[in-house]
Amino acid sequence: MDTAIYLVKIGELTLKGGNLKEFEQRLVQNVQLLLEGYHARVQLRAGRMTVEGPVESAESIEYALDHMIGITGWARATVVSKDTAEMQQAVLTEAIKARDSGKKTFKVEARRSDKSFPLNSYEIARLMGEIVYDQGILKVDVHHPDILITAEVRERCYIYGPETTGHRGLPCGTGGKALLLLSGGIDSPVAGYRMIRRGMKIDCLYFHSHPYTSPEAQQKVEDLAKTLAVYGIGTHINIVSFTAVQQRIRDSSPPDYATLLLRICMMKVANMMCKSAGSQAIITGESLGQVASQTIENMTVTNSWAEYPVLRPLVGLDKEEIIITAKKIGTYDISILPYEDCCVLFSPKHPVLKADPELTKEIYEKMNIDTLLDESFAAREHKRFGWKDARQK
Amino acid sequence: MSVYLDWAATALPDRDVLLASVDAALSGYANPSSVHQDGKVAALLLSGARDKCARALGVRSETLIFTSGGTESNHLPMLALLQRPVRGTIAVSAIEHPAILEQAKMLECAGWKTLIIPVTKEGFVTSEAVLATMRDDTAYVAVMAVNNETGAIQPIREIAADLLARCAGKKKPHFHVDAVQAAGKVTLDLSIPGLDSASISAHKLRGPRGIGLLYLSHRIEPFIRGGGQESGFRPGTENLAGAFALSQCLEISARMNLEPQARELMKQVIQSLKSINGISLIPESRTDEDPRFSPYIAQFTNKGIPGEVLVRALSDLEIFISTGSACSSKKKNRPVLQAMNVPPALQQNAFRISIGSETTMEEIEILSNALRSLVSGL
Repeated sequence: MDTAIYLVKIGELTLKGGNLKEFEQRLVQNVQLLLEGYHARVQLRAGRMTVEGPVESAESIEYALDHMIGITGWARATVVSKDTAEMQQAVLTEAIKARDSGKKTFKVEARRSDKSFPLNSYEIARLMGEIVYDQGILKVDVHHPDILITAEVRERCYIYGPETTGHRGLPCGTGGKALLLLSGGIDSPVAGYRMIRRGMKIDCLYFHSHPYTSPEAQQKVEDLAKTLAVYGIGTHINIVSFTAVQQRIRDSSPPDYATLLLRICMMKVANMMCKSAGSQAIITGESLGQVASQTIENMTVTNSWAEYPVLRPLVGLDKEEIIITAKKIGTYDISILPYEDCCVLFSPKHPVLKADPELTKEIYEKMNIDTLLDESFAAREHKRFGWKDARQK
Repeated sequence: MSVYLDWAATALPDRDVLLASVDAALSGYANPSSVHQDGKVAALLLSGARDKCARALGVRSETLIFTSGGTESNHLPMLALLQRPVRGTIAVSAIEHPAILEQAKMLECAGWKTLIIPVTKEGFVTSEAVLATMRDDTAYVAVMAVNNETGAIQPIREIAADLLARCAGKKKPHFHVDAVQAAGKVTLDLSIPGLDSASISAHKLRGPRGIGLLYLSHRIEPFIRGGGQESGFRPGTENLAGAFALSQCLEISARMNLEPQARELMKQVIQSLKSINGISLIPESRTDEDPRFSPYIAQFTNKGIPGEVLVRALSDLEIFISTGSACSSKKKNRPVLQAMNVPPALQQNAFRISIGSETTMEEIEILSNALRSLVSGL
């Protein structure tokens, strides 16, 4: 059986001290979870992870590594014995592959963690480069090579060409658990991704107002949750109907406060959800000043209603920066589908920009909406998405 | 039991017609172009279907070309323009179906210029507006027979006559009529002088999708070339089952003459919906039994709820309607209502009721009760 072998760099993890093991174990576990059923073997030794599996699983292994949080890069490697002739042959094969794909210049880098190997890193690099140069396959450029070929002498010898950049960050599941307020927009999925990258496990909470919003809008949010599920090794989405809540707000509060009151109601339900699911924080996609409900005054008001820390990983980013990430993680094309998740009927023309906390509280209490929120929360719908759901989407 | 009031999008299929067309497909399995016996059987069935359509429409069989449906029938005469050595202008009404308006944009890419014929605030294209919009280099004019959103019946006879009169002695522009919402439903005379082509679709007449007719009063240069089927104007092995079904549908419509019954039903629709506080007709001037409108289609609007929301809320109650043209329901803007200068808020809140031969008074009552509570409750 032919084997595909991948060498994976784990980056930031190596900075960890006493609890390094815990992080490493979680990373290995996450990769194993994504590769369940693909007969892959995952090992982590001396700061390097290797993933090996049958060549038929190569596509799945690459998909998993492409979406894995906690690695800085990976490459498919050729494994040879610690014999310089064999090593040279493997380097030559990489160089020919590079030339055939239009590359002109190269550089060889070597690492030697097996100090019993007779040549040092410099000597290995020179010897490996020599054969490519002698056969005139590529030209040497040690400053800006088109392709970098690496030879690593460890328990075995790994030869590999260009690396694919990873998502970096900390392995999902090492940073606690939080609840993401997910809408169909561009921002909230990015906020979720950013916190997954800090090791958090996330659940999602979505509010719909059928028939004011369409089933397509909800489908879009579910697709976003599925996309996040790959990075977050699965996710739960809780869907709460807010139609009656929005009607109550519309009918019993000043129109300019509608958006802010809606945010407060969402926070209240998020509190309930956190409590029920054991989440430690609430994540939102808010970015300072982006819309009326996201002024510092209004954020302060909504914040005061949250019983858990509110994490706003996008608070200092502008739209362009957020879009770059959204495109990278594959949520942008879903987010821009033309199905709105809030109805114009409920959006005031001139929402309050600098809400007064005391006045807001007074208006909120007058609405007598708490029972309605309890009922909406109790009637929620729950779905779970595994990482495979996104791949099949 | 659901209430289906979206007949203008697709009419409820006629089970007998569909089953009979399966039999026709089986007995006429061979290629109508084949010279052997079974091929002849198929060819005979096909020509029989064409003759039946011709009788129902009051035109000669040779003028009818089977196509894949309304959109293609609308496109073929437009595409034929591409063969003209000199580019010019085409004039299309502002309320045409996207099958015409969007295709006009394609022609623009090929060097043609589109002139839009304005409509009155009631949604009618007047003959004067057509003549005022046209230019000397106008080679094609399109005005639909019945608007798919408002049901407004357009003065086709008058426009055709005025086009003839204006161009006496000169080359007259090709006059195309989208008759998809008119054929088999309202009085339609395709043989009037000056009318050059018209489109018809089977699924608006309780037939299957994927089959339609193009009426061509005289031969024009074909754009699509191939095996010479359909007098060389629309090559491709013929959809015999579809043609058979369409001929049945047209024959039934002509024989039954359901227009008076529809008028009675639509009167009921309009009266009961207008009695609901906040609901009004588009255009408001339309009366209960207005002969200027198709009795199968009416556009309404309301004060509070977006049409799209209303459609979803009614759908939850198993009452099926659309906001307007089903083909463009994914887009939010309403070009037809915009052309009629309907205020934006009323455009957004507009919805269409379209009825058919199976619609009952009971269904209309269910609809109006549902609307009454929705409009006050949502």
